[in-house]
Amino acid sequence: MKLSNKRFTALFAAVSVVGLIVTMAGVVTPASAAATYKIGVSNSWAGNAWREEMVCAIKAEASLSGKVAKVTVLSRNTDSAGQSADVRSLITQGVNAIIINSGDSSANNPAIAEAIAAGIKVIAVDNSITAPNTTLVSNDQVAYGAAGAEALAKAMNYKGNILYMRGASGAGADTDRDTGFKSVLKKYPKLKVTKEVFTGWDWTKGGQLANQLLAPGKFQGVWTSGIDYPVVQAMQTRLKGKYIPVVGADNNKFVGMTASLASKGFVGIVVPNPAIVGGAALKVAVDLLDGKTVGAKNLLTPVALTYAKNKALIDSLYFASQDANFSSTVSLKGYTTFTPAQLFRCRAPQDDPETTS
Amino acid sequence: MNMMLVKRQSWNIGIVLIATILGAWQISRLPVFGSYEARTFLLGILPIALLSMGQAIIIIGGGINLAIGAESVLINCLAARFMVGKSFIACVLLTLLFLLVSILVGALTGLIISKSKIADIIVTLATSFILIGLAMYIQPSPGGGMNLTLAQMISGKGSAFLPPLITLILPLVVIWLPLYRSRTGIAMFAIGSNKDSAFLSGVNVDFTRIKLYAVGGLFAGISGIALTAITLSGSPFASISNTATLNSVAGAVLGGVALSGGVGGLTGPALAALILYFIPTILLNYGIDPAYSQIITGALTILVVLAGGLIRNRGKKN
Repeated sequence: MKLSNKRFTALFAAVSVVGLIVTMAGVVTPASAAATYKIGVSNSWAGNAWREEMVCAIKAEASLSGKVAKVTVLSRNTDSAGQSADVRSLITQGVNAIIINSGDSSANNPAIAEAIAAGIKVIAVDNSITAPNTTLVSNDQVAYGAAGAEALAKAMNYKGNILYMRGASGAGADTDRDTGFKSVLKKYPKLKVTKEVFTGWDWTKGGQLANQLLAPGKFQGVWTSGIDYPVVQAMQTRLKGKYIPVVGADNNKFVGMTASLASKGFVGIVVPNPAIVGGAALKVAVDLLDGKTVGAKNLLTPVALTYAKNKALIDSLYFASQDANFSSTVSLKGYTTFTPAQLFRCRAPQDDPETTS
Repeated sequence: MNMMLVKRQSWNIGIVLIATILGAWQISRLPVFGSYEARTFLLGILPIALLSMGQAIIIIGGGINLAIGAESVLINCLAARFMVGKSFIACVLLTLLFLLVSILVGALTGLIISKSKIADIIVTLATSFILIGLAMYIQPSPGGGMNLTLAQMISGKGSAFLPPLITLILPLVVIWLPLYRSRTGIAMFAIGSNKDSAFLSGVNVDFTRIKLYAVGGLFAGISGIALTAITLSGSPFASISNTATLNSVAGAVLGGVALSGGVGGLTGPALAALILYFIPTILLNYGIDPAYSQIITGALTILVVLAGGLIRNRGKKN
């Protein structure tokens, strides 16, 4: 009883000290006084786990930057006319910078040109856009396609048939990945794409396609544009437990399968496509508003990971607490400062502070 | 006489009221409201307002066109594909040509429906797939463009809100009013109310329907051209045409057009597009999941259909 009392006192003291430090830090840091930037976010695809995580990374990094007063997120499933309307809506709300994940590489350009004319910084995240005077922050999708293709070629011993499962036709990332993929494939004449399909980055559709197409001996490898673990699941039934190499992204479940099925002969090739690139976009937006010089293209270059070579890293990328399609890269060196917990909390600067902090 | 006018316009007055409330709500959240913001609103509603108007004409005539969004996407892709890099004069001529194409596509749809006697909903569902396929063939991936001068004449530039306003109102004045006052206009309401009695009264039902589908197609074409001017590109996606079609039906219904046919006008659907624009915009700005705006739009549509039916039934009894 006495001990627990002591423990309680110690805990209380520790909490108050931490609380005091946090409060002081809040007072001392000039950042909180200078939290004036208003950031607008336009996202063309809502209800997609990757995009939601991207938005959360923007919010979390904005809260930590101390320089952002408000993050306005316009996130919905819409066409280019709708997204252009959202961009204009952000202009009318007087934001200082717009971070846009554009559903179309050129259709929002007129609205974006109006934003730039109004002195607003425009940062394209994830999907590149053709509008001039904008800054791109993205995973290098050409390198994504190439890195996965190179690792797949090696895993297939540079020969055999590939099932090529692309994303959505016409999307900037899909076109770029295709460029990277084909550039590698050209080097290996014995590797052939015998079937090319589009999953539309739809998990259900990807699973259905894999179930229809996979047959023993038909393919020696699969390249996916991130719709990865349903393919591995399909192999368990369609190939009767025989696995062929699969290129996927850093989706939580795929990462987990790459680790757990390695002993059964499965070669999973993890090419991270971090959703928290949103946090990097926020940092670039703040830098631009601070008047710093930032290059027009900021690309994060992915590296292909296999369990044979990168065991520790892949193990660290699996989060048992998160969903199957959670993009499990949780920090980007030089760009993001949030902890995984802060990312999961998904709190924007204008939201009510958590009672726990 | 005046009472008559108020009664006839009561639906439109109601819509204006709702749109004004929503508009005031949205404007109150903006730091400033000037001509740029007005243009933003207009560009937000322009494609869908035009499409709702086209759908309204067809629904008034007792039909429904599930391919109207696909017609608009097809014209969008045609325009973006062939107008990119062309001179102003060439783009104007191409616009006229593509509007003619949209009339023909509409007329052909009407012809198939009239001659085959298959339900509108089936035929237009089928044509929607064909038209999207054609659009994908013409413009396989998003891109293309339009002469900037022409685009700015249609959608304005900076804070010039008059061009999109004119693009919205001109078809109403130049196409709808003459149609409404013509014999075809009377025939449209007649076949929408009761096809058989219209036929027995000497109305050429088939020809009228073909004409209505042609005019509906023309509105879809104008919507497609407006979309090209706004986005300076063409996007051949079925998802765009599906959403647009559903919104056009919602817009027509909210605008006072009875799904049973024979009742309604075009001013209502044009105004209803404002409501369809404001609901998601306001919710989005409050950080509310956009899926809820779909729920609200859907619920509103059902309510309006129910309320409209009740009011009309009471009117019949009296």
